[in-house]
Amino acid sequence: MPRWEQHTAAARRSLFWNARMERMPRAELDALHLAKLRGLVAFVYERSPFYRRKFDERGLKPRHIATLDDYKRLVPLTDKQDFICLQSERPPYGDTLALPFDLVAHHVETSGSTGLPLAIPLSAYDTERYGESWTYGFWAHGIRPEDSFYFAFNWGNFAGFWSCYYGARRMGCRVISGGGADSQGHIKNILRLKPTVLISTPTFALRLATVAKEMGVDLRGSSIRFTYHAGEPGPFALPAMKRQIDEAWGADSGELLGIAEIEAFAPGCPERDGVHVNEMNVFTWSMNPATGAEVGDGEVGENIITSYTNSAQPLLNYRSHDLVRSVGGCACGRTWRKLPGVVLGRTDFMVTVRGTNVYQTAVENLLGEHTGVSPFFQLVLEHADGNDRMTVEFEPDPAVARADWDALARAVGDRIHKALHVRLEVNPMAPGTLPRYDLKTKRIIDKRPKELRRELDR
Amino acid sequence: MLKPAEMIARLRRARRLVHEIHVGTDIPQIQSILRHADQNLHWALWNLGEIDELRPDLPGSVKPAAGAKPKPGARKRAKKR
Repeated sequence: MPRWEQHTAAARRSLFWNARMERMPRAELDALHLAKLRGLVAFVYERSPFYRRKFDERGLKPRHIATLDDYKRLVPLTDKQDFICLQSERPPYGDTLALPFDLVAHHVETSGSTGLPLAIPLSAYDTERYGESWTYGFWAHGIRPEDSFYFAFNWGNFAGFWSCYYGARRMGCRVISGGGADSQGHIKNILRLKPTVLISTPTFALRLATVAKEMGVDLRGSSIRFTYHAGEPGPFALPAMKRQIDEAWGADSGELLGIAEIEAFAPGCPERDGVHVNEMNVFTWSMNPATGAEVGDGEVGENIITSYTNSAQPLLNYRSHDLVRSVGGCACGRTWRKLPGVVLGRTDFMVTVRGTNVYQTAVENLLGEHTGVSPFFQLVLEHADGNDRMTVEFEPDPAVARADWDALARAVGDRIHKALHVRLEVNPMAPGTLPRYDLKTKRIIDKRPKELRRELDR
Repeated sequence: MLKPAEMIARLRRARRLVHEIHVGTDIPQIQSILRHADQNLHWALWNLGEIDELRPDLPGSVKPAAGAKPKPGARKRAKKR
C-alpha cells in the first residue's frame, strides 16, 4: 500500500480548508442551499413531531418549498424557548428529537447564560460535523496538524468546547485538557506541556495573562503561537481586545462565532475583522426583529439560522437574537457571507434607558476600545421611577493611578453619550473587586423585577 | 489532480465497496469501523457539493426533494409565517 501523508505539500500551501466550497460562486451556493433545505424540510416533516405539528398548523408540506424565498417566508421561525418548553414537559428532549434515541451519541447543553440550559442531543455523525465547523477557522488562522491545543476550561456538558475538541481531533492535532486547574495551574501546564494553541474565552485569556504577570511569567516567551476564542465578543469584534490579547501572549488571536445548539457556524476571517458564515453547514438570512421582514444586504438584522448538521435536534429558521450586518464578498477571497464586527448587538439584551434603546454589546464595544479600561466590567440594570437604568461598573487598568479614576469614568461616560446618545452612570471599581468567570463572562447584572424584564432576560 | 467529478465518482464507488464488506461480515468491530468510514465518505461527498441524503445511515428515509416541482397553487395554500 502507498504511504499516506496527512496532507500533500500542495494541500499544506492552501489558504483554505476547502477552497472549492469556500470560494464557490453565489449562484452555485444558493442552488446547493435550496437542495439541502428541501431535503432537510422533508427530513424533519417525516421524523420530528415538533416540526410536523408546526408545519401542519400552517398547511405547509415539504413540496411547497421551491425557492429560498419560499423557505424564508413559509417555514416557521423557531426559538430557544420553544425547545426548552418541550424539553421541560418531557425530559430530556421531548418532541424535539428527530432520530431514534439509540442514535444519540453525545448529550451536551448550552451554558444556561440566558436561563435554563437547553439540552442538545447529537448523533455520532453530528459530533463529527460539528467539530469540522471549527476547522475552517483553524486552517484560515494558520493552525496546522503539527500544532497542539490547550483547553483552558473545565470539561462539563457545555457544547462549545466539546465541539472544538472534535475539530482539533479532525485536524490531527495534539490535544491537552486543562481539566480542573486554576489559573496558575493553567500557566504552569502551558509552560510544562508546550502547546501552541490556546482555546479559551477571550476574557479568560486576558485573565491568564494577568495572573502570569503576577507569577513573574512573560507569556510572550511561551510556546503559544495562536489563541482562538468563542463564547463572548472577541478579538474580531473588539479591536482593543485583539490588541490586548496579541500583546499579552505574543500570539495571533482568532475568533469564531458559534451558538451551542447550532454549531461553530461562522469561522474567523483571515482579515481579522469579522467572521464568515460556514455555508456548507448552515443557511442564514437577516430579519428585522420588529417586523419579521428580511433586511437587505449590509443592513443590520437578526441572524436567522438553519443548521444542516444537527440531525438529532434539527433547528430550522432559528432565531439567534444576534444582530449582525451580513455582507457578500471579502478581500480574503471567500464568497461565504461575512459578518463584519461579528455580533453587533442582541435583540434580547436591549434595555430602553430614557427613551433610547441600549444594547449590551454596543456598550461593551465602547468600553473595550477605551484606553485605561480593563477587560473587567459589568453593566448593572435597575428599575427606578418607571424607567430602566443601566450603570457601568469597570475596573481601571492597574496602570491608571487612583487619582485619575474619576476622570477616566467621566471620559467613558462622555464617549458612551456621544456614540449611543444616552447618559449612563459610570463607576470605577477597585481592581480585583468584580467577579471573574472561567467560561462565559456575565456582563449583565439584572436587578430589575422579573416582571419588568423581557421574557428571555428573566 | 483529479477533477471534482472524478473525485465524486471514486467516492461513490468507495461507499459501495464499504457497504459490500459491511453486509458481508458478521464481525461487530469491522462493521463499526466501516460504518464510521462510510460517514466520512458521505461527508467528503457533502463537502464536494453532492447532496444525496442528509444522513448516510438512514437509507430510504430521506429523499431530498431537489428537482421535484410543486403542484400549481400548492404554495399559495401554505400560510405565510
